[in-house]
Amino acid sequence: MRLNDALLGCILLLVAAVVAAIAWGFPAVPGQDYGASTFPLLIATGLAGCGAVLIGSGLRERAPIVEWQAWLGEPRRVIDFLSVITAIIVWILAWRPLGFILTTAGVLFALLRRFGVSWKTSLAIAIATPLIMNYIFGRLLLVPLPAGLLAPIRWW
Amino acid sequence: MDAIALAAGLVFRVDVLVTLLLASAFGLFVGAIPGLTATMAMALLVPLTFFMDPIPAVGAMVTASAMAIFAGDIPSTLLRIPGTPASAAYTEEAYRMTLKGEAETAMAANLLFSAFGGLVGTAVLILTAPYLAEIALKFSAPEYFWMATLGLTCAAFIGSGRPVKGILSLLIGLLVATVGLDNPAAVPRFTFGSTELLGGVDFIAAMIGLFAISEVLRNATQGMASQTLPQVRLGNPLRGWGPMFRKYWPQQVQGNVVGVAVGALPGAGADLAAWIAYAVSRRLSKHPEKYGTGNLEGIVAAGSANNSALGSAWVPALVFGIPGDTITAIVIGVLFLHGLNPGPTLFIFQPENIYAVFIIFILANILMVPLGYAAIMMSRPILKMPRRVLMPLILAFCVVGAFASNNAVFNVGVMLAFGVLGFFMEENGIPLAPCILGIVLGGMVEDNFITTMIRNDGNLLAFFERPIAAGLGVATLLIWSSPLILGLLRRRRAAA
Repeated sequence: MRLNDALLGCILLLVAAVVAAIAWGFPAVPGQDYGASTFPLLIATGLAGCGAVLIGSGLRERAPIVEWQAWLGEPRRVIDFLSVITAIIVWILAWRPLGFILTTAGVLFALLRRFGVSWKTSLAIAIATPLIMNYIFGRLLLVPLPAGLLAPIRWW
Repeated sequence: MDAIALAAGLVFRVDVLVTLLLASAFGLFVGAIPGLTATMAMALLVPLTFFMDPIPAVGAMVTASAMAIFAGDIPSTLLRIPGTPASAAYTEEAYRMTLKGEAETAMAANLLFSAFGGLVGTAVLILTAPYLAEIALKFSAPEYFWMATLGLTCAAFIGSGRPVKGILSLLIGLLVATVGLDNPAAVPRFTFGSTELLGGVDFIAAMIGLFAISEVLRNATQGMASQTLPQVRLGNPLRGWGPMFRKYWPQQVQGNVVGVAVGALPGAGADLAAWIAYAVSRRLSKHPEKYGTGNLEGIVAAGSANNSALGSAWVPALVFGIPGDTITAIVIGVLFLHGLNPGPTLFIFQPENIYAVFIIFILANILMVPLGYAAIMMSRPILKMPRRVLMPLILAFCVVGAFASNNAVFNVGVMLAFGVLGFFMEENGIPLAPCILGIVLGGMVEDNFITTMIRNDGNLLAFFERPIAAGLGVATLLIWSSPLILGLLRRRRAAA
């Protein structure tokens, strides 16, 4: 999804206004002219400046307002795209309750199947990967990966 | 001379050498995994060093950090996912070489110039430690402000596209850096009531999102088509090194000079050095138009810079106990633990220990050649692996990497948000690199800006009142105004 520069510029002006409005509300340091709001206000000014430049160039360019890429017209690609995002969300939600090994195995299997990898290969990768990663990260690098449902039979 | 002989005796022992080898393998592994940085490798080593003698302990840290900084280049080149932030400056450039089938050349150059840059950094550390530290000590708020601003400026103007989009990316990064409590007034900013955001946005998670997740998303939109990228086999990389040295020595020298200078400044470090070196070499290049298309010049300059910065970052650390970067900050802790209190006295009372550290530096950079070569060979099959298998695996590593950076699931969410943002930014021709640097340096720029303003009652001239600050400031302003000046010149020429 490619936005016309003018549209992008308008969005930036809006973001700049919101940032400035929030920054205005930061409490001042007593007796000082410069504090928490100074830098965000400078950034907002910069964003607004970029927005103005982009609006100028966008109006001259005469490109369509929104350019939809070809993949957005292909349902398979859109599902692939969304499945990556969904996978990460599942990881986040199931991380603690299911634990690292089970979540990763499940998500990997689903993703591999979605991308057209054979049943056998998917299953092998989905089982081996979380176990290897759990050993490397959990045991060797001391990352506290949650055990989740496997906690009662925790062997590592 | 006795001290040097003593030092050699301390280093060339079986247990020390084995420790160095193991630390090298560890550093290569951690550096090659996106999300695990060289700093993290150091942090993970700390508990192990408790059980070691001082020399192997410090040696392990030196070798692991050098290897990690080089290894970050491997996923950066093969997958467009920087293994450590220090590789982010030239990720795009290196990946383009892979697309052209020159991955092995790019990695061989990375290895060669990393090792050589490391040796130059070491030489500087040995020869000039006291002098450089003296200059670095003169730095105060305005100098730091300009130093960081110069880094940001370089990043914004690095992109081959339009400067306005580079600046926009930079501003997004700076805005992200303002999130949280960590600001001059310690007021929660842009946290929207979230406790997790009080600590700010974790930049490792943001970096994984911007570079790796956006790349996985892009692959998804292309149907995971296994782009088999035919690669030119290099065979023995040592053979190509002679011509490479002859052809790219100016970039290498630029990279080393920038790396050494930036590395010696407290708080700057290898990441910033790589960015500035890349920008400097582009500015001085005869073919700046080739940058961003898979050009070795930029890779050589930045790759030389980050490893030479590593050595010179030890200058302020050893001489004054002021860390040059996060890596040396951890090292200083370890030095204290082992009774090697950093400071001038270390040079006077225990010179053999200092010399031993120097010898280990040299050894580490020589060891890097065979071990790095092995790592490159082992990583080659990654390119042959079908994308539809590789991408889910990368995703799993990214999730763990984001989580591991401070053991919070929240970071995985941050990674996802930045992944989508990065995908959208790239679709609209907004470069990702300046955004990352904005996040990293935002706090430093703001702190020093506000400090200087408060200290001088808002007098902007204060930024130019000290000689080093004035020099850095003028350089920065010149870069900012260069598009304007060039435009005016062109118009005048067109009118004439």
